[in-house]
Amino acid sequence: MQIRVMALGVFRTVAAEFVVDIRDNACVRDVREALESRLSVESPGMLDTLARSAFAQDDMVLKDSDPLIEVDCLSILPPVAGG
Amino acid sequence: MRITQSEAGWFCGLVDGPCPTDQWLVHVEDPGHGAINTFYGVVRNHNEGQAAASVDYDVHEGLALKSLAALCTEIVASLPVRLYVIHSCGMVAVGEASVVIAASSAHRAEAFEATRRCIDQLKIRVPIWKREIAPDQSDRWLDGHTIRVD
Repeated sequence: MQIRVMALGVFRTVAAEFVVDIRDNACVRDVREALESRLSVESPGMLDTLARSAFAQDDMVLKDSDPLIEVDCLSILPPVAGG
Repeated sequence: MRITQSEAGWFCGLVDGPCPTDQWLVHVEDPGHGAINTFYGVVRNHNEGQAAASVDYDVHEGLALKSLAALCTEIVASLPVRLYVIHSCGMVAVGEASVVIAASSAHRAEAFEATRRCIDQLKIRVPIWKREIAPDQSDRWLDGHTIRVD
Protein backbone atom coordinates (compact mmCIF):
# COMPACT_ATOMS: atom_id res chain seq x y z
CA MET A 1 0.00 0.00 0.00
CA GLN A 2 1.03 3.63 -0.41
CA ILE A 3 1.36 6.10 2.43
CA ARG A 4 1.80 9.82 1.95
CA VAL A 5 4.05 11.41 4.57
CA MET A 6 3.65 15.17 4.88
CA ALA A 7 6.93 16.96 5.55
CA LEU A 8 7.28 19.48 8.36
CA GLY A 9 10.18 21.54 9.59
CA VAL A 10 13.56 20.67 8.14
CA PHE A 11 12.07 17.84 6.06
CA ARG A 12 10.53 20.54 3.85
CA THR A 13 14.05 21.08 2.48
CA VAL A 14 13.85 17.59 0.95
CA ALA A 15 10.24 17.40 -0.27
CA ALA A 16 6.76 18.72 0.47
CA GLU A 17 5.67 15.13 0.98
CA PHE A 18 7.05 11.63 0.62
CA VAL A 19 5.13 8.74 -0.89
CA VAL A 20 6.30 5.34 0.31
CA ASP A 21 5.24 1.86 -0.75
CA ILE A 22 4.95 -0.56 2.14
CA ARG A 23 3.40 -3.95 2.70
CA ASP A 24 -0.23 -4.33 3.68
CA ASN A 25 -0.88 -4.46 7.42
CA ALA A 26 2.32 -2.53 8.02
CA CYS A 27 3.17 -0.47 11.06
CA VAL A 28 4.80 2.93 11.55
CA ARG A 29 8.23 1.29 11.71
CA ASP A 30 7.81 0.18 8.10
CA VAL A 31 7.26 3.79 7.05
CA ARG A 32 10.35 4.86 8.97
CA GLU A 33 12.42 2.16 7.28
CA ALA A 34 11.11 3.09 3.83
CA LEU A 35 12.07 6.69 4.46
CA GLU A 36 15.50 5.61 5.70
CA SER A 37 16.07 3.83 2.42
CA ARG A 38 15.01 6.85 0.40
CA LEU A 39 16.93 9.42 2.45
CA SER A 40 20.09 7.33 2.54
CA VAL A 41 20.25 7.92 -1.21
CA GLU A 42 18.72 11.37 -1.61
CA SER A 43 19.71 13.14 1.59
CA PRO A 44 21.92 11.09 3.91
CA GLY A 45 22.48 14.10 6.14
CA MET A 46 18.85 13.78 7.24
CA LEU A 47 19.15 10.27 8.65
CA ASP A 48 20.04 11.39 12.18
CA THR A 49 17.07 13.76 12.17
CA LEU A 50 14.83 10.96 10.91
CA ALA A 51 15.94 8.76 13.81
CA ARG A 52 14.85 11.49 16.24
CA SER A 53 11.58 12.19 14.45
CA ALA A 54 8.08 11.08 15.35
CA PHE A 55 5.15 10.29 13.09
CA ALA A 56 1.61 11.53 13.59
CA GLN A 57 -1.77 10.63 12.20
CA ASP A 58 -3.93 13.75 12.35
CA ASP A 59 -3.33 15.05 15.89
CA MET A 60 -2.06 11.78 17.39
CA VAL A 61 1.64 11.00 17.81
CA LEU A 62 2.24 7.34 16.98
CA LYS A 63 4.64 4.69 18.22
CA ASP A 64 6.74 2.76 15.74
CA SER A 65 4.83 -0.37 16.68
CA ASP A 66 1.41 1.15 15.93
CA PRO A 67 -0.35 -0.58 13.03
CA LEU A 68 -1.46 1.40 10.00
CA ILE A 69 -5.06 0.36 9.49
CA GLU A 70 -7.01 2.37 6.93
CA VAL A 71 -4.31 5.03 7.05
CA ASP A 72 -3.11 6.74 3.89
CA CYS A 73 -1.46 9.88 5.27
CA LEU A 74 0.94 10.63 8.11
CA SER A 75 3.01 13.62 9.14
CA ILE A 76 6.68 13.44 10.04
CA LEU A 77 7.62 15.52 13.09
CA PRO A 78 11.30 16.37 13.42
CA PRO A 79 12.67 17.51 16.80
CA VAL A 80 10.64 20.52 17.94
CA ALA A 81 11.95 24.00 18.61
CA GLY A 82 9.14 26.38 19.47
CA GLY A 83 9.26 29.50 21.57
CA MET B 1 -6.46 33.16 15.93
CA ARG B 2 -7.19 29.46 16.43
CA ILE B 3 -7.93 28.91 20.10
CA THR B 4 -8.81 26.34 22.71
CA GLN B 5 -9.94 27.34 26.17
CA SER B 6 -11.38 25.82 29.30
CA GLU B 7 -13.58 26.96 32.15
CA ALA B 8 -10.85 25.48 34.33
CA GLY B 9 -9.01 28.74 33.74
CA TRP B 10 -6.76 28.46 30.71
CA PHE B 11 -6.68 29.79 27.17
CA CYS B 12 -4.28 28.81 24.38
CA GLY B 13 -4.04 29.72 20.74
CA LEU B 14 -2.07 30.03 17.52
CA VAL B 15 -1.84 33.28 15.60
CA ASP B 16 -0.52 34.09 12.12
CA GLY B 17 2.49 36.38 12.38
CA PRO B 18 3.65 38.12 15.54
CA CYS B 19 1.71 37.61 18.75
CA PRO B 20 -0.37 40.51 20.03
CA THR B 21 0.79 41.58 23.48
CA ASP B 22 -2.36 43.43 24.50
CA GLN B 23 -4.93 40.65 24.70
CA TRP B 24 -3.92 38.48 27.63
CA LEU B 25 -5.29 40.48 30.58
CA VAL B 26 -8.96 39.61 30.08
CA HIS B 27 -8.06 35.92 30.17
CA VAL B 28 -6.15 35.92 33.48
CA GLU B 29 -7.64 38.75 35.55
CA ASP B 30 -9.40 37.50 38.66
CA PRO B 31 -10.49 39.48 41.73
CA GLY B 32 -8.93 36.84 43.95
CA HIS B 33 -5.57 37.01 42.20
CA GLY B 34 -2.98 39.46 43.43
CA ALA B 35 -0.19 38.50 41.05
CA ILE B 36 0.12 38.45 37.27
CA ASN B 37 3.33 37.34 35.59
CA THR B 38 3.97 37.59 31.86
CA PHE B 39 6.59 36.17 29.52
CA TYR B 40 7.16 37.32 25.95
CA GLY B 41 9.44 35.29 23.71
CA VAL B 42 10.86 37.81 21.24
CA VAL B 43 12.84 37.14 18.07
CA ARG B 44 16.39 38.38 18.60
CA ASN B 45 18.90 39.57 16.04
CA HIS B 46 21.46 36.85 16.63
CA ASN B 47 21.62 33.15 17.41
CA GLU B 48 24.59 30.86 17.90
CA GLY B 49 26.93 33.56 16.66
CA GLN B 50 24.97 34.28 13.49
CA ALA B 51 22.92 37.35 12.64
CA ALA B 52 19.16 36.89 12.28
CA ALA B 53 16.46 39.06 10.72
CA SER B 54 13.37 36.94 11.28
CA VAL B 55 12.07 33.49 12.12
CA ASP B 56 9.52 31.53 10.11
CA TYR B 57 7.54 29.25 12.42
CA ASP B 58 6.27 26.02 10.91
CA VAL B 59 3.47 24.48 12.99
CA HIS B 60 1.43 21.27 12.96
CA GLU B 61 -1.61 23.23 14.02
CA GLY B 62 -3.94 20.45 15.14
CA LEU B 63 -1.31 18.71 17.19
CA ALA B 64 0.12 21.98 18.51
CA LEU B 65 -3.24 23.12 19.83
CA LYS B 66 -3.79 19.70 21.39
CA SER B 67 -0.32 19.83 22.99
CA LEU B 68 -0.83 23.36 24.28
CA ALA B 69 -4.20 22.39 25.75
CA ALA B 70 -2.66 19.36 27.46
CA LEU B 71 0.12 21.52 28.85
CA CYS B 72 -2.31 24.13 30.15
CA THR B 73 -4.52 21.44 31.68
CA GLU B 74 -1.53 19.97 33.54
CA ILE B 75 -0.37 23.32 34.87
CA VAL B 76 -3.78 24.51 35.98
CA ALA B 77 -4.42 21.15 37.64
CA SER B 78 -1.24 21.43 39.69
CA LEU B 79 -1.09 25.16 40.43
CA PRO B 80 -3.90 27.56 41.47
CA VAL B 81 -3.50 29.82 38.45
CA ARG B 82 -5.26 31.20 35.40
CA LEU B 83 -3.10 30.73 32.33
CA TYR B 84 -2.88 32.23 28.82
CA VAL B 85 -0.47 31.14 26.09
CA ILE B 86 -0.37 31.95 22.39
CA HIS B 87 2.28 31.13 19.78
CA SER B 88 3.02 32.46 16.31
CA CYS B 89 2.73 30.67 12.99
CA GLY B 90 4.71 32.01 10.02
CA MET B 91 7.01 35.00 9.85
CA VAL B 92 8.04 36.98 12.91
CA ALA B 93 10.66 39.72 12.64
CA VAL B 94 13.35 40.72 15.11
CA GLY B 95 11.77 42.52 18.05
CA GLU B 96 8.36 40.95 17.59
CA ALA B 97 6.84 38.42 19.99
CA SER B 98 6.55 34.78 18.91
CA VAL B 99 5.08 33.54 22.17
CA VAL B 100 3.11 35.29 24.92
CA ILE B 101 2.36 33.67 28.25
CA ALA B 102 0.49 35.19 31.18
CA ALA B 103 -0.34 33.57 34.50
CA SER B 104 -2.23 34.96 37.46
CA SER B 105 -2.55 33.62 40.97
CA ALA B 106 -3.39 34.72 44.48
CA HIS B 107 0.31 35.04 45.29
CA ARG B 108 3.37 35.54 43.09
CA ALA B 109 5.15 32.20 43.51
CA GLU B 110 2.52 30.23 41.61
CA ALA B 111 2.35 32.77 38.78
CA PHE B 112 6.15 32.67 38.36
CA GLU B 113 6.16 28.86 38.45
CA ALA B 114 3.31 28.48 35.97
CA THR B 115 4.93 30.85 33.49
CA ARG B 116 8.32 29.15 33.67
CA ARG B 117 6.83 25.68 33.42
CA CYS B 118 4.73 26.71 30.45
CA ILE B 119 7.58 28.09 28.33
CA ASP B 120 10.00 25.31 29.35
CA GLN B 121 7.55 22.57 28.42
CA LEU B 122 6.29 24.33 25.29
CA LYS B 123 9.80 24.34 23.86
CA ILE B 124 10.22 20.58 24.20
CA ARG B 125 6.68 19.28 23.60
CA VAL B 126 4.76 21.39 21.11
CA PRO B 127 5.25 20.60 17.38
CA ILE B 128 6.65 23.90 16.21
CA TRP B 129 9.80 24.38 14.12
CA LYS B 130 11.96 27.44 13.49
CA ARG B 131 13.46 28.45 10.15
CA GLU B 132 15.84 31.25 10.97
CA ILE B 133 16.37 33.82 8.24
CA ALA B 134 19.54 35.92 8.11
CA PRO B 135 19.78 39.53 6.92
CA ASP B 136 21.11 38.24 3.56
CA GLN B 137 17.98 36.00 3.29
CA SER B 138 19.92 32.76 3.71
CA ASP B 139 18.12 30.42 6.07
CA ARG B 140 18.57 27.40 8.30
CA TRP B 141 16.26 25.13 10.29
CA LEU B 142 17.08 24.96 13.99
CA ASP B 143 17.46 21.64 15.77
CA GLY B 144 15.33 20.83 18.79
CA HIS B 145 13.92 18.16 21.08
CA THR B 146 12.57 14.85 19.91
CA ILE B 147 8.92 14.07 20.61
CA ARG B 148 9.20 10.39 19.77
CA VAL B 149 7.08 8.39 22.18
CA ASP B 150 8.99 5.12 21.85
